[in-house]
Amino acid sequence: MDFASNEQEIWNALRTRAAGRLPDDFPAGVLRAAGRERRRRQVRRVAFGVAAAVLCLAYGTMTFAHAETDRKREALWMQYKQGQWLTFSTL
Amino acid sequence: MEKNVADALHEPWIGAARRGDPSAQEGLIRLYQQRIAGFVYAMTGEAGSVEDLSQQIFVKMVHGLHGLKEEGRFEAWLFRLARNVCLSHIRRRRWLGRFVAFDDLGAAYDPPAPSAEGAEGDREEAEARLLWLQQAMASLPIGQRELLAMLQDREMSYEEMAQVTGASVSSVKSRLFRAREQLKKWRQNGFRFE
Repeated sequence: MDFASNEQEIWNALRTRAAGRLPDDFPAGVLRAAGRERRRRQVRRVAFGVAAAVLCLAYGTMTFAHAETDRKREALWMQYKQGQWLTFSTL
Repeated sequence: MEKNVADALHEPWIGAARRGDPSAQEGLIRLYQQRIAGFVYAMTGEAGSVEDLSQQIFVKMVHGLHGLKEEGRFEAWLFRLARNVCLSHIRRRRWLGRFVAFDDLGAAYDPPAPSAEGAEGDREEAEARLLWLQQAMASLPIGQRELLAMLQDREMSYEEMAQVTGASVSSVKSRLFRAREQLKKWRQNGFRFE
């Protein structure tokens, strides 16, 4: 078997066999697959955006609630202190 | 680096495909499908994966075309995509422990005796040669295999192969030399791998 002299022929046979595995409408199939993939990416992007927005909203609400609780606690504490002061000063 | 001849020839198509023209994209796929299929087959040795991997490569091409910085480097860019897809397929296959195809091939393959006369004999011999080449490719280290796979249609220069693999030109030359020497050694060894 004279491989060396037929090397290019063998490579050509390999390429021909590989190309034979592709259907005739391969380019059109690729474009359809690319379109499907594009739509999938869009859906994924939108879903990611929605999830990010929901997380941001949740975090914002939590932060606001936390700040509001702190503020109220502070106000109650001040009221208590003022009451104490008034009581002691009256006595 | 100078522009590739094919890239220079296909520049208007590449430009139109980048702008999203489906007929130009289809034309580009048609132009390169045979070379890419050959590259995939030479890299993986799996005829059954050729269509799937080629489709993945061209889908990536369609999506990535607008990000292509230089139209004159399209071919190297496309082969880099193809290389990455093939390498991740090979890694996945290795990880799954599915070496059965190549190992079985090696165990079962026995170089045929000089064939009988006639077309049938020629066909068998051609088949045996192809099988040997597949097995030889599978036995080569991946760094050498990818270079031979790129060189199969003699349309790539050392510089382009260096660009695709991210290696230096001298490294490409020495790897190719080693790969060819290895093939020669196997040939002289009666088509047996050791």
